[in-house]
Order: sequence, then C-alpha cells, then structure tokens
Amino acid sequence: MDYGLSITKISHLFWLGRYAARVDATLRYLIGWYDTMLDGKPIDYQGFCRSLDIPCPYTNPHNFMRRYIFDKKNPDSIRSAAEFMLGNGMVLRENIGSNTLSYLQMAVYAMDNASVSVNPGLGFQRVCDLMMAFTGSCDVYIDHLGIRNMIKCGSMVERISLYLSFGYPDEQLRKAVDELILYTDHLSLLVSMDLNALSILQIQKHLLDQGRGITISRYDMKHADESLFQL
Amino acid sequence: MNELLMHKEQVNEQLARYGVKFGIYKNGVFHERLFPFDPIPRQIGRDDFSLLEKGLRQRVMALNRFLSDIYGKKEILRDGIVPEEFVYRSPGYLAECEGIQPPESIYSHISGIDLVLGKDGVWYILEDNLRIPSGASYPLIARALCRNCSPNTFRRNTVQDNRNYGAMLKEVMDHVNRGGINVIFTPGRYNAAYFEHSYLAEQSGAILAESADLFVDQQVLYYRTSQDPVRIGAIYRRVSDEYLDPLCFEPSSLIGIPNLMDAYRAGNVAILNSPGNGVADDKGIYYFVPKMISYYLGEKPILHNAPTYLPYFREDMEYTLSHLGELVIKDVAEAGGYGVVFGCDLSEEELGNLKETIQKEPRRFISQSVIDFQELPILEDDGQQVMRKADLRAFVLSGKDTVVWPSGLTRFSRNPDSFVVNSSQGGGFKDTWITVSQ
Repeated sequence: MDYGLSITKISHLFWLGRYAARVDATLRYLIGWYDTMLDGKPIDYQGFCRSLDIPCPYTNPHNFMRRYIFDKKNPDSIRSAAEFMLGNGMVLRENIGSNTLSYLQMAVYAMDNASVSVNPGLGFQRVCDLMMAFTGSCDVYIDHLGIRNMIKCGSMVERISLYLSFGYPDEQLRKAVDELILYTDHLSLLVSMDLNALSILQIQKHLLDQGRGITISRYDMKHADESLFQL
Repeated sequence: MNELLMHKEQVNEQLARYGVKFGIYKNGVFHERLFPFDPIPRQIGRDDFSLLEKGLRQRVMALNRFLSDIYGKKEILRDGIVPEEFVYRSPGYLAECEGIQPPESIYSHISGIDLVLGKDGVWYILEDNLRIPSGASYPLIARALCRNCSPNTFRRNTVQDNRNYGAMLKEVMDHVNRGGINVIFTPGRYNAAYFEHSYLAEQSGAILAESADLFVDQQVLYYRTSQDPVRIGAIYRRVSDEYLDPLCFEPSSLIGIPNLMDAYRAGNVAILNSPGNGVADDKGIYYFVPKMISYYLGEKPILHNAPTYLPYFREDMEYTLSHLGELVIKDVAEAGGYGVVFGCDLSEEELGNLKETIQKEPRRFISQSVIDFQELPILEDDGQQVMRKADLRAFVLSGKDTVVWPSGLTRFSRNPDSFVVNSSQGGGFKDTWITVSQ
C-alpha cells in the first residue's frame, strides 16, 4: 500500500535518482574517452565542461580524467556525485531497503577501487553494473509505486539534461522524454510541478514522436527539464 | 567456530556493503567509520542467560517503578530510601515531567544495561542506560551477515535467533501507541548512531523522520507529508531530552519538535523512552538500584552492582580519598566513556587535584572498585588471537511484558591496557550468542 511521504523524503528520492543517473550516464560517456586517449587522440574536455556549465580548472586531458572522475574534493566530479547519491540513499533506508541501498554503497567503493587501478575501465564497468543492479532492485523490490516513480523521475530528468548537454541523438532524447512523462503521469506522490515546463516537454515529445526535431533551443529544453519538479 | 573466523574478511566486506558505520565528531568535524567487528562471538549458555534474564527484568521493572514514583507520589524519597538531593540535583531529573503519566505507565521501553563478567564468574552491572541506549542494530545485522558468510557455523552450533529485534521493538511501540503510525525520530544524517536509526526503522516498519517532518497541532503529533498529515501514535525518539522540544527545554534546539511535550502531556502520543528518564540512570542513582529492587518489588536483587562508593556519604568519602589510587572515579554527568578516571593512572599531583575536586563537589562523583573482568579473545589482522577487556550491553524491552533480547552488544577495547570499550573511544564489537546445549 502506498503511504504519504514527507517533502524531505520526496526531495531525497528525486535527488537520489538524479545523482544515480549522473554517475551512470557520465561514466558511460567517459569510458569511450579512455579508449580514445590510448591512441593519443585529443579529447575536448573544455567543451565537455562548457556543455555542463561547470568550471574547467583542468590542465590537460589526463588531469581532467583524473580529477573530474575521481577527485573527492572536486564538487563537480563523478566521485562527488556518487557521494551525494549515497548520502541521499542513506536517509531512505527504510523506504528503499538495505539491499537496494547496498548497491549504492558498493558503487562508491568500486569508484574508489577504480581510482587506484591500472585498468580503471574495468572499474567503471563494475560501477555501471552496480548502478544497473540498483535500478533493477528499485524496480523489483520497492513496492511503493510513488517511491519508485519518484526515483525514476529524478533519473530521467538528469538523463535528459545530460543527453541535451552531450548532444545525444533525438531518438535517445525522445525515449527519455517519453519515459519521464510516463512516470509523471503515474506519480502517486503529490509533488509540486511546473506545468509550463511539463507542457514544453509534452509538446517536444509529440514533435519527436512525429519524427520532427526539437523546436526550441536545447538550452530552453534543458531549462524546462530541470525546472519540472519544484524540489 | 574456526570456519567463521576464516570468513572474517567476507563478513567485514558485508558489513561495509551494508554501511554498518558509526559517526564521531573530532575537532568539530564529522567522521564516519566502519564499526570494527570481531567475528569471535561472546557465548553465553542458555542457563546462565536465564539467570541474567531474570536479574535484568527485575532491575528494569524496579527502575520503571522508580521513575513512576519520582514523577508521581515520591514515596521512595519520603521513606528515605533515596536522598532527595540525588534526585532533584540530578541533571537527568526534569521538573517539566512532573505528574505526567506515560501510556501504560512505561517509562523505559528500551533499556540498555551494561554488564561485565568478573573473573569470579559473577556478572556485575556497570551502568543502566534508560534514555536512548544505542547498539542493538550492530549484533542484529552482524548475525544475519555471519549466517550468510558461514552457514556451517550455524548448522553446527545451536544459537538462539536474535533477528527478531525489529519485531520486538514494533510490539513495544504498538503496545503504547495512542492511535496513529510509529515513527523513529532522528536528529539526522550526521548523528553518531544514524545507521542504527535507519536500520531499526527498516526492521520495525516505522517511519524515520527528522524534526522538519513532524509538527504538533491541537496537542496531536503529526507526520508532515506532501498530502494529508498523518497522525503519530508512538515516537521512538533518538534525540536527547534537552533538544526534544524547544518550547519546553533548550530553546535554541533546531532538532526538536515544538509542543511535543504538550501532545505527550495530553496523552496523545507515546514517547519512547520517556523524557526525564535520566534521573534513574544517573551514576549517582545507580548506587540505590539494589535498594529500589527491595523497596518496590520486595525481592532480593539477582544481579550485583559493582562495589560503589558515594563520596556524598562521609564514610564513603573517607574510603574514596584513602583508596583513590585503587578506584575508578566516574563523573556522574558524563557518558560514553568520558569522565572516567582510573586512580592507578594518575600521578601524585593529579591524585591530589582529584581529591580536592571530590571534596569540593562530592555529589558529582562516584568511585568504584576496579572489577577484574574477564577478557575475551579477539582475532587480530595477522590471524593471532589476543585477549581484550569486553563488556555486554543487554537490551531489555518493556511493553506488554518486560523481555530481554536474546543477544546483546559485546563491546571490546582494542587497546590492551584499556578498560574503556566505547565505540567513541575506538572500541569494536562482537555478536553475543545465547547457546543452547544439544
């Protein structure tokens, strides 16, 4: 049976979903860069930072890969996102269950192990596997539909934002927007939503369904996506 | 048993996986650490435990009667069994609780009683914890993980199951519930025992809530949701008395619930454990617990206190001052292993200073004979076993019945020269097995 949740918990669920998606999606994106760098080819890390609207204090590609991925003291790093993900999960133990939570804890350990490994690519694979296990565990073992969908909403908001930043193809974006709208339709928890933002996403989804591209700028689309939930 | 020891690393990995941690503040900075676990369990035979059970139930029943008396008729004071000064000057005594009758007249729902086993084979009570004793979650989860890592160990040993703690806690909360949901009230993520709060919420099916999630309206406590507020019937608070309600206690508290005491006084919510319990687990009051047992229950105490002296009494003052180098001195206002001084560790000058302080503030201290308690084997990282001092925190739950959880938190000192076992002082923990002969 679904029961009401406090705004604090709903906010933690949403941000758990966002940070979990950030860890997974950015890591998957950067795994390809590791391979590129093996052949000495350049990577556009400055462009990457610009697209995410984050500072770029990195001195070279190696410095970027090290600090952006692993540096605990860098608030923009994936490692920090993993810490925030775990922090949000920890306060939801009784809602998501210790088993589901344990995948987040293990993902953080896996990141730390990858940071001292000679083949971090394998470590990233382990992190991504654990993120998938977390998602699967949410699907199978969380009975409360509202809790499940709130995490998914957070996850899809983040994915759409990253897909827009990374210039992912329309088809991938269409699927993500499709899912986000589906989850918002089935959200049993009462959450304050920006209806203008929702309308923008619905219209863009409709256009993408018809094979037409996004009619507004990616920046505006990203803004609509990120302001959808008032949490 | 050897098989379990071979799986030490796996058990520790599992503990890390489930985030079995405790927090500690050092120089104002919060650090979170894995709680060091030793796989060699403390084993207590069923017969020994039956005696402990009886003694612990007896003690907690007397302490509950004492609390009811102190905040009610005060007969024990009138009859001169406990000097008034020990009650009214105790920092744990709360005048704001005078006259409040908690649901089902239970004050200490979850009692953590600290014991040691002397080398003479006698269990001694070291301390009663009736406010917010923590620690049950650690052996609770450790048992489940050990069973998983080393199933054969549990096939070959008949150990009483301890995994019912969550259900026991729920039963207690349900028993005193005044209508509504059960909530565990935590100060938040950066509390030393946050893991425990969240794990017990999961295990008992209660909702874990912080102050921002809770409010009182018309003397009724509610859980604030994004939809309609939900009434709360029982709140297991893990927040200290002084921070519980800023309108009643410490006004600067940001982690409390305004007007909670109003709802409690009106009988609309049960608070576990009741505010004001500190008066009964005060180190000074400890001395009088055997007398309480005789007074309220008309029984002889089953379990022994450690030999204790109250400098408040002239004879005890003389004894304390003349034997200071052999005694352990405890500041009654401190907890968590703080404020404990062993006379044998002090220089002549320090002993002199301490004597002066005790003479100036006799009510502030108790002195105890150092109990030569049994050491338990600890498995070191190199595979060697070493002996270390260890105590036992037994958990007694008072609801419809007063029952002892068939397990407990065994804490040990990792320092070979230390008697202090508290996690905040670097100690580790073990599971406690109640074994049944086959």
